Amino acid sequence: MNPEKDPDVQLMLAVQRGDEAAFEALFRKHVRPVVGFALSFVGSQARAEELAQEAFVRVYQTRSRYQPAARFTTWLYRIVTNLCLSDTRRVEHRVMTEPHTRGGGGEVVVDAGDLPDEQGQSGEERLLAHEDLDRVRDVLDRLPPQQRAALLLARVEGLSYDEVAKSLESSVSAVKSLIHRATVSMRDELAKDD
Amino acid sequence: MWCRWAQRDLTALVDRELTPSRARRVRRHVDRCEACAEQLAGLQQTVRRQRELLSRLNEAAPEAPVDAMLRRLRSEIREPEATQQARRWWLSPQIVAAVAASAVAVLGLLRLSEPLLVAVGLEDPPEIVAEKPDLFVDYTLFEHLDTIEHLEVGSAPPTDSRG
Repeated sequence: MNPEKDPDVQLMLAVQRGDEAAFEALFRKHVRPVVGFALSFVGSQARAEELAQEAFVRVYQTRSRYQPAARFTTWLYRIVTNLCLSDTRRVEHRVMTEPHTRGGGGEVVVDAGDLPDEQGQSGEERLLAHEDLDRVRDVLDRLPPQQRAALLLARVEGLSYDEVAKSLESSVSAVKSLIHRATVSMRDELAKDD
Repeated sequence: MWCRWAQRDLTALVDRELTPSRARRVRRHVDRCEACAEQLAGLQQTVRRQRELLSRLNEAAPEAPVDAMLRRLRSEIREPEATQQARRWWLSPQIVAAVAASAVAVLGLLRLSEPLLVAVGLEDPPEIVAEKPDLFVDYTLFEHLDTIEHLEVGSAPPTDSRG
């Protein structure tokens, strides 16, 4: 997409001109996916929200340096990814200490007993059927951070490999390799239930 | 060797991220290689399911309290700006003008007071006096300056003990 046709780019250029409403619009549009992305790295909703907030503080503070060379999300996720990867390098945040919880504090697990028995399916198919999201989360967390970041940016946030490369400050060929390895690793880990 | 080369590109092929020429080369190989064709079919299924799983994972995450976060964000952005402005009070135009005017006044006073400072010994006389004292030694000349100025031609000059 031509960056100039990206509505978020136009909003960011308005932020540069001092438009606070434009900044609020960008925040409201992107904060939830950013929190979701950060949650994959820090394992704590509270910490994910802190990182998301820090990302938007940086977006605001560096608004004068923003240049619409790519889609807004490419620039946003560059900031977010840097914060998340920095956070994972800290020992105290490397290990997930909290389950991913809904507001009430319970684990996000569907009771398999409520679902029909589906014999003959692969581990991955059973996971799809039973929505064992904690298992998926666990597999995702075991990916190296760079692979995890590349996979999520491409598969969840919908960035192209070129945009992922810009967000990770890497090359397209490196991103291609990261995503391939992440895809295969995740497939093999989920298949271990077979 | 071709298989190893092609398999590295299979995920990108599924994601439609290969250049057209490279995609054609990979597909040509896959058409001729059963193992790679099977690998490709498996990856297509894997990528589709992973997109679904990751999307569900994203949706299952707790709702972020957007309004509360926005309030915190606003205070975090405004507080540093206010703090920076308070720290930079000394850069305000009024302060800068006052300091500049004071500096000019002080320099002017120092310049004007230079002879006074020399007379009372707080400052050394100008260098030329130290370098060429002979120019300033004939004070007798200066003592009789008035007389010299009014000297008429033909009259005898005043005598001087130094000759």
